[in-house]
Amino acid sequence: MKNIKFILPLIIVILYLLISNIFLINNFNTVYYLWINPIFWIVMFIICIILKNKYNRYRNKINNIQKVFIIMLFFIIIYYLLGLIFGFNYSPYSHDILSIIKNIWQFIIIIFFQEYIRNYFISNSKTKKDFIIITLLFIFVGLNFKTLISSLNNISDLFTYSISTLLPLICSNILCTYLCKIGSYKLSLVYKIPIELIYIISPIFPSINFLLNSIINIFLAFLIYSFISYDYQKNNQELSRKKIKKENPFLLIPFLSICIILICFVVGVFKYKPMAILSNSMVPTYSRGDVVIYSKPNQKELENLDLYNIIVYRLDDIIVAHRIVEIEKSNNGEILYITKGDNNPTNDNKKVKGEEIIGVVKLIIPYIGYPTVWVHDMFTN
Amino acid sequence: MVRKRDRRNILIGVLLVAIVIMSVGYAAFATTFTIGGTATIPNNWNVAITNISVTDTQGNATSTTSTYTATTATFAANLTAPGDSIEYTITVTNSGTVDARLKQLVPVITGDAGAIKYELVNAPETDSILKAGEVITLKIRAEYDSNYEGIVDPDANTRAITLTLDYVQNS
Repeated sequence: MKNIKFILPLIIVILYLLISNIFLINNFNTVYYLWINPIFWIVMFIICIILKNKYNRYRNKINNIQKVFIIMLFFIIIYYLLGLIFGFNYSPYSHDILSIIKNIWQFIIIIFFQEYIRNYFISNSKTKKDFIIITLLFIFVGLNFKTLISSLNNISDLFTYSISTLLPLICSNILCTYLCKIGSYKLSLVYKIPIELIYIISPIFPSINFLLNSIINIFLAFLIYSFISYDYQKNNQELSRKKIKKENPFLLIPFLSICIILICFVVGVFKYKPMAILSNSMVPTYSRGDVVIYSKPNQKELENLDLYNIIVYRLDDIIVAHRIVEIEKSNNGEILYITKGDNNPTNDNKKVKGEEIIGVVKLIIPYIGYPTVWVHDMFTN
Repeated sequence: MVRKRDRRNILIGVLLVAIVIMSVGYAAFATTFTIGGTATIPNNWNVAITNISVTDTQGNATSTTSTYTATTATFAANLTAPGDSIEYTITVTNSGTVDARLKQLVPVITGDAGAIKYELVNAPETDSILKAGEVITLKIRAEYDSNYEGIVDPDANTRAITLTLDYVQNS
């Protein structure tokens, strides 16, 4: 840590981050992202070349690059196949040649220089503490402080920001630091550039919920780490024969797949979806802390809805699951459902139209919704 | 080791071919795919609706729903008599690093209350630019139309509107 080759560039990058977030981004936003930021990283790259990397010899470099590249290709294929389930959205990026070049300059070139500089720091660092500092530094480099600060306004924005941006950013930076340590900046480039390139050139993207998107990215980082560290330990004979079998990263794939299926269930990809109950309005049928599983009704199921079915619908800004106690027709012949909580003295104010019904309750699982209730209570009180 | 490396190269080739086939397939069937709005891309592209609030109410007007996603805002006004009106303010923020251009603003009105009309009071023009870091607000007003000549259903006092903001990169 005491060496100047490590500390000098580190101070420059920290100062740059401070100046850019306090002054530059607020005053020269477009110019900053298009010119100032790329040029800074190029200048840093030159500084690092002048200061010279400590020479490191990396074992199995080509093998590791191949492995990461194969995982990335699988990732891209699976990611796009998910679009067949979730549907697709258009890319917001412009695809004329000039815009593609501009985006490559603005996003891809920067990654190259940043990873080179990360590698420079790693080759000049000695202790675990140095690696943590490097990882933290690049997490800050990747953070958009303006979004972070605006997300602090309310807890739901902060949660969304943490899940969609912060967690994947942390995982990706831990992985990049590790890859640089094991196989130079080229290895982390093989991980980072395909994702960014796909974002720039692809005209469509799978329309994936932010939670699932984030989990997929975290799993990707975890999977790459598992494969590369397994090989590294195996080649350095750090694993016993028994452990070689036991810690085979292929064994992780079924576990990760089950996790993704569970998350798909929670975010409502399938016909059946869970919902934690926050009030006691339906006691004794179900109470606070239980989970109801409801299904999204099709037209036929909507027509077959009957008295005493429990339906899920939006009432103002909350979603409720209450029982149908009356069915009536409006003046124009539309069917309106009047609902009531079993534990409530009166009917609900809103008459629910068929199109407003989100689901029909099919199953009740007691108690498992308590963690959701606690989190909800913690943030609403 | 060399054999293993060759096998991996073959696998890379096969995967690349699979990606090319997927791309060609997309190009061939692009017109038959159902493609939704504009995607949100982490880090660099982040143009999103960040708030909806009721900024003015007249008479007995109430708002029954106001929800939003990154690109859509949905709200429903409950108006019962002439003179009732409600105004919503929507905040759109470009927290990304890329300037955005409004490709289109699509309002879709649902509900039976024909007497309730929506009007965009303060909305960005198509092709207007929202620079990286900028914030804009748009206002929408729901009013009970006293000149409405259709049948007024006393059970249906609510009309919802979903606004979809379609921003793309300003090239």
